Amino acid sequence: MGSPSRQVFFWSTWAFVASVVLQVFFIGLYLFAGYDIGLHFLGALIVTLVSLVVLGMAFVARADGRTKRWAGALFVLTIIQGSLPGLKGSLPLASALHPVGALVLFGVGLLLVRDAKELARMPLAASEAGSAPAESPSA
Amino acid sequence: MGGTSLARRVYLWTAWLFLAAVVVQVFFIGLQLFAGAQKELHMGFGYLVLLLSLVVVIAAFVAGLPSRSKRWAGALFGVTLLQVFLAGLAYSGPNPVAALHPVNALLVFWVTLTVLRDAQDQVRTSTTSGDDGTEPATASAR
Repeated sequence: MGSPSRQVFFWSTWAFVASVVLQVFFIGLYLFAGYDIGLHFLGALIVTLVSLVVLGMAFVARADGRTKRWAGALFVLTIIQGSLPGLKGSLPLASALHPVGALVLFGVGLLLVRDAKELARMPLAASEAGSAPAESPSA
Repeated sequence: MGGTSLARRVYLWTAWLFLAAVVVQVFFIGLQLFAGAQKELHMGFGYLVLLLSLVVVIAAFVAGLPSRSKRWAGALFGVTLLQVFLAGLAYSGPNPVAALHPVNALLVFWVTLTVLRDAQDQVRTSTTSGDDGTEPATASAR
């Protein structure tokens, strides 16, 4: 069983995927059931916060470089996703990528879930040997 | 290239084509919502996506894939059909169930990625084992 930080990292990636699904459901409620779009705006805040937690936990859990880069990309993509609707007046074609961005976030989220799951399985010592600088052997 | 290997490659290409179609379909709804495009673009293309999902299923059978792969291809057709059904609800008036239409798009996307990964594995299996659909080579006496 991996360290607690890696378990938290794993669950944070699942939380991100769940938050994206919820966010998409919120826009569905607005578009097809007459609900207030405020739900979708609130969802955007939650998704952004969770992406930041994922990024932070990637470092705390001492994930490998590749995973940290994907976590960083996830955060950046989330920020971009939030900015796209604002371009509707000036760059409508770019703004039209907003729904595609949701697919991308979902896909990257799932990728991180897989990476975090692998990391959570690894004993901390074994993975440390691979990622941390080698310590001088004790006598 | 053996027949089986080619059929599996065709299956892989249809899976890639389906993924591209899903992305384009999602972009079309973006065009409708943010760039004033006609709703018929998204609606019409949706039927093409459904047709493509059927092509994926047929390709899975023609390629003689294992049952598991055929089930995933069938699931792809199933969720795509569900998506069309939810779209019908969506365009017929306010309905909370219709709110699942965009959520199901995520499910279609996930199943597509699963089918694609499986298709890549099937191609890899057929090329590494030298499977060309003919009888296994008999051990030659030395």
